[in-house]
Amino acid sequence: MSKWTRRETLKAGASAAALAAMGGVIPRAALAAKQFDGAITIGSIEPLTGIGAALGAPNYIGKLIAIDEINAKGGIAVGGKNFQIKLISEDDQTSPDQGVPLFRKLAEKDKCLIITGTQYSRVTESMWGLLQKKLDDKSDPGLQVPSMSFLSMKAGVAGISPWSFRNAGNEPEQHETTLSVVEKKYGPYKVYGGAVEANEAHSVAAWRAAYLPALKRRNVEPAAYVEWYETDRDFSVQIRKLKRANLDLFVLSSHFQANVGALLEAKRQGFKPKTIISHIGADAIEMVQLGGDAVEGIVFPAAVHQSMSLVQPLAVEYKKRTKEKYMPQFTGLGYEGMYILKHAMETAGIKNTPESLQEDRRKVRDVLAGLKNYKSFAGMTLNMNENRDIVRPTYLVKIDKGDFRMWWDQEKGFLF
Amino acid sequence: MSDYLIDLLQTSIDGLLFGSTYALVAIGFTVIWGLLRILNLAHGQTVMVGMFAGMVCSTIFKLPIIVGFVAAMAAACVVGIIVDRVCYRPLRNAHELVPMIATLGFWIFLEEAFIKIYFYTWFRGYMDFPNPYTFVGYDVGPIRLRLDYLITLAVSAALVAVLYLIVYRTRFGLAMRMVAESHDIGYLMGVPVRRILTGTFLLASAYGGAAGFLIGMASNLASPQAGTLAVVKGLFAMILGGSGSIVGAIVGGMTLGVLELTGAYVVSFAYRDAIAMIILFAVLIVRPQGIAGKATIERV
Repeated sequence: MSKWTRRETLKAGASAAALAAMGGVIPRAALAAKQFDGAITIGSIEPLTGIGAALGAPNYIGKLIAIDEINAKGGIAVGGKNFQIKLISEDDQTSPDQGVPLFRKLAEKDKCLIITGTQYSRVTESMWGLLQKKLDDKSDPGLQVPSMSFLSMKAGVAGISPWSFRNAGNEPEQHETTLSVVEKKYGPYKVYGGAVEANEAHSVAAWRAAYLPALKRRNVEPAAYVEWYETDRDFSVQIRKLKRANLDLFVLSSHFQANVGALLEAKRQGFKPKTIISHIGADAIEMVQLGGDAVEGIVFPAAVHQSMSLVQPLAVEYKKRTKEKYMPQFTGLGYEGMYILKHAMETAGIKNTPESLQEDRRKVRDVLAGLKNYKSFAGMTLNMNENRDIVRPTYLVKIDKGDFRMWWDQEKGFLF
Repeated sequence: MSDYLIDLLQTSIDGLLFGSTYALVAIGFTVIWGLLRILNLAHGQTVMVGMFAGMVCSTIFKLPIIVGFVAAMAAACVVGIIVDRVCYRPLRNAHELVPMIATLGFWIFLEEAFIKIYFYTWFRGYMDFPNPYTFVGYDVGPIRLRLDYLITLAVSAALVAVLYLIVYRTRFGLAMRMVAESHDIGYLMGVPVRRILTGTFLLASAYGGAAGFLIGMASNLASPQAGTLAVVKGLFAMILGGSGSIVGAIVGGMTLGVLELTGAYVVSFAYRDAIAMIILFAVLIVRPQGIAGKATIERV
């Protein structure tokens, strides 16, 4: 059994306290005495606090559940040996200033085989800026450690380095699907418009790289376009402008923090477009808890959903640990991501010795880059594309009667 | 009247009403500045803690609004006492920058602590702050007046009136004004300067807590980062209106509210803060003492 670091002990204590405070069940499986031949160190960077916590925290819980399960079932099997996964977890506080040094620490000091995270695009792209830009380029002193984000939706983020990977879905494809589906159901629309969270990289990128091109393909110019910040508290000016434009399709490229305030203001002003669509930033329980019926009817894309039969056991465990009523897709992506990494480590034939670290990192990277026909826990088949983004189907979720309900499935069509 | 003008008028009124919360925050800054000549950068945390206490009363314990409001002011007062005891009193003989840096450190510490509290207690970065008046308003011709904004303005006005009574009609206020002129003369005249300073911290903090409650209620959520925003807005309002002047804080806060919203409406949201900042520069060039501040001449 490898020695725990002081930081790990503190983190474990903090997590245990957090779960205990929430009345949750502290995972015992990972703590149970089990004979391993050593440990594989994996780094985790998440926005556990700060503005991105609503995405990062559920993702982190998904990782923890997966690691508990993997370790309880014997850990990572490589070359006839079984290694326990040892997770070193760090909180980037949704800040690049925090994330960049933490990423370097996990790679260089903690010597992690793989670094998972982070999940907020602006932090992820700053961290991945430390990675080598061109594979086998000896003149590039960048870090050579595989890193996979289980979110960071900003278009093109995974292309930063040959060592960076993402399991989150293709956002331009997600929004094209969303637009097509709502047009089919509620269209045709005459007046399109949008709002963008102007200080948030993912929301800006979603607007520019996904929504605008999708509108252009339809020969549509947004009749009204407004901006706000995720920290804003008054949205009256923006909503008034949108209302004057008489929108019937409103694109909300914004996270829940601003969405809630804006939609409460929309209700206050009586602005009610026929359809409102948003990105994955709307997938947070705070939407319904803070927004009430003002957020009813919003449609947004999802990579997995708690209602899927194969996902339900995870949702049960998530709710047990957190006492939350709803498991957002980020938990599923974190959980699934850890199993993808397990598959990569076992397939790569790593040696897991201090001397073989760099060689092992490269082997894992290569397996991830060539990932094909991976069977997800949720039942779908996943493939890594040339941009190191895992290609996965899109589902649509609708906020309906205060609940996040799966609304559309590629195979089954509209579900209600 | 054209739609454009109606919207401009509506935007200006919204800005004026919402700006009253900025005024309350600025009052806290200006009272401390007037007496101590230090920027109490931890003042934003009285806003955040007030918002937190109000949220706990309203959301967790479902207590009446008035209870939450009083609790917000009381909780903020506790922060004020701590700031006085930790950041000012032990450092009163140090260079004037030292207590300011201490309040900066306290600000960062408290914000970090509350970020953790929100996360580990509720698994959240934000909490719901119920506002029973969210959708209530009155129509005056084409203009809609939000009830929660009207309440904010009324409460702010009442608190300003109380502040004036305290400052100009009580012995405590008389002592405050004397201490503001000179701590040494205050000592010589038998004024309990330390107690007056503590009382001033309490007063300023209570106003911060009130602002925190009103901002939280109007925006329907409580956030551990609210203090940072309050520092930016409060300092801006204080400087714009005139540092050390209560009237200046009110004028500055409301002007900032109007500038922000009308700037976003007339020009673009993208330049909202830049517009407000340019106007601040312009005002300071013409009137370095701020809109309502008094010019002082220092003879050497």
